[in-house]
Amino acid sequence: MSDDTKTNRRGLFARGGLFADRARRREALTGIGLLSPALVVMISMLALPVGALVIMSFWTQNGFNLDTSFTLDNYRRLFARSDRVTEWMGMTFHLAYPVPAILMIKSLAMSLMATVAVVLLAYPMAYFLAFRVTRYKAAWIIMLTIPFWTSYLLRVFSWKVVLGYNGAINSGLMSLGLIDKPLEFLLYNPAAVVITLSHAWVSFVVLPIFVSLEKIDRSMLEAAADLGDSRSRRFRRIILPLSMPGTISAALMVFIPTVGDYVTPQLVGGNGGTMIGSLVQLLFTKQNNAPLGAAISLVMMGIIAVLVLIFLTLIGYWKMRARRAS
Amino acid sequence: MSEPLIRIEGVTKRFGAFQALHGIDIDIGRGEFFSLLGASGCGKTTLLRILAGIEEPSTGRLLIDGQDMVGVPPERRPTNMVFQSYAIFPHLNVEENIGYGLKNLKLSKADMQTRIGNAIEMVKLNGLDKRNAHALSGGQRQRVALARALVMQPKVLLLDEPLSALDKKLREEMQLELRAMQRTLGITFVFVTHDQEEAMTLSDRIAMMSGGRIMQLDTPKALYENPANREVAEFIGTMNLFPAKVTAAKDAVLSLDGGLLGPMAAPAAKGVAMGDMVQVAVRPERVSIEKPGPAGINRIAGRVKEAVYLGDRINYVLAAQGLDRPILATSANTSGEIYPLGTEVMATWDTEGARVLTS
Repeated sequence: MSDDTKTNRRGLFARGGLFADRARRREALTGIGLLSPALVVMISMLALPVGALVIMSFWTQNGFNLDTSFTLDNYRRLFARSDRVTEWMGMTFHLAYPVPAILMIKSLAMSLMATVAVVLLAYPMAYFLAFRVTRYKAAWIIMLTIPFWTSYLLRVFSWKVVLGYNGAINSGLMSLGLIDKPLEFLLYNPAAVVITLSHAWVSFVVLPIFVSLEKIDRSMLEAAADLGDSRSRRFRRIILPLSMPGTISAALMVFIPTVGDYVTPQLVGGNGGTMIGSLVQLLFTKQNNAPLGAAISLVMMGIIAVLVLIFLTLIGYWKMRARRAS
Repeated sequence: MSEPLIRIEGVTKRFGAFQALHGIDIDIGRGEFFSLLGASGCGKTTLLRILAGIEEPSTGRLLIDGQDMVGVPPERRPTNMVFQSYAIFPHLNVEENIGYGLKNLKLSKADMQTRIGNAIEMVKLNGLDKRNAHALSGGQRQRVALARALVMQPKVLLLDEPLSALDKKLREEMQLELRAMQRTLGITFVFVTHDQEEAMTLSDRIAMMSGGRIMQLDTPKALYENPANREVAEFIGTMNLFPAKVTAAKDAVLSLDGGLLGPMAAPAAKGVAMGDMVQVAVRPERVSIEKPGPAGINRIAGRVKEAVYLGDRINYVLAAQGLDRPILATSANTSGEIYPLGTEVMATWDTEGARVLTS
């Protein structure tokens, strides 16, 4: 359409006219101007560090010195095969250095569990907010943001207080006389990490799901009822499919960052709850092997990107979005 | 009328402090094309939604085919609705949209295909079966919404201003199609509109609503020829209103005194007594324009303020002494002659063409 209006313009403003080029250049400049703050932040905080990571992953650490000659050794090391077999959770790894691979799979599994838990918790909340709350909606939404008023670390720590050896659950159960001594399996394991991650991310996800539910035209639901759908069928046939694109984006917003999380595993995960991010952190700090850490980070990014793309393609996400856009 | 298909009895609807409907009583017959007409906020859509079951009446009864419908949810009513926004499901294609309700009827696959096919045929969407909803034009969406409701074979089809979003030409085309469809299918249509011309074109009967009440329920002709009050008279078509006082009533003819407008006469009307202040209502096409002449009954002197030439007819706007509003007159263009602006003329009408309105 904009093309039509351009061709319809006459005289000096016509395509190739005297002012047309100048006007267009000005429009482009305005666009760049508006974008520039975001662009500066993106380049300095995202593109540059990632670029640095890429370069570093081709270097080698020799004791305290960095050998900056180009090499693929770090990547080779991650994929190097070996006759020595490592077994983990019933899976066998024929790798010389199996730790990153094992932690990668473990992290993906834990993030997936946390993501599913987050969506299962957040969806009903968003649904309630979108369809049941009619008054004081803004107040409800502000209440949802209350968890953000404290720091992420505090929220993670509070789970330590809840799940810990002398924590709320243990002392509660003990004072009820249900157990004699504190349960030790509550904290410092993958389950504790998954629980903490789920809680930490729920409020992030309620809002995007709420928005996608709120966008659904109420006359759609009236029409579905009019055509014979019961409440549950309306949910299955209208609300769920129409809110799916928003829910999936929200889920990815949890899944992608949590795979690489290392704070939460460190605080509540113990030895059993370590994730791939913990290893990267270790390599960058104590083990003093930043190039290997960089290579692991990049491979992790690649794997997540590929997995997400495969997932989105399988469920026909792009088609869903195109339809929703109408 | 034989046993009515829809019986609305004393239905009221209150939204908080706002009374949307005051005691509505309507009987709608089988196979009737019935319109609810009124300006926005008059309660017509609320009444339609009560018929559909989307809203429940605050008080009153609603029977469809003898069955009490109050408390019955929309999914179990023998009604289907065409929504003003069409409410086409954006994640489904044309065929899936039209077959949406059929899936709840537990039909065989073949039955379903036939019914969908027939519906697509009926609304002339052939070849678009697999087209995605978002790739449809406004007119096509409207047809999908219509087919989706009709395919359910409802006893009553409810239409909420279905044509208001279409351009004029498409709207007129759809009006004819709707009317033809309703005649062949024999389904009762309840049609909500704010467009009096549309209501007149389509309906067997019209309920003209205002402020949550029915002003008049009649055939299009009766509404136009014998409006019950000033509001109906002015909503449906245009109407000249001359204030006057009743001076005599004799032989079914009222004599009136219009003050500066002179003496008038009009057919007797119920509830009009000597000395009443009333409005004498005359349609523009009943007013003829003549060269200036002597004063008399139903004769008002005026000056041409505007003359709009429309080919087959000429619309005059006249200014008259003693009247705030101009007199409107429509003359058939029989002689090709126009009274130019500023000409002194005489507006006259026959006594039979006038109506007396008390409110």
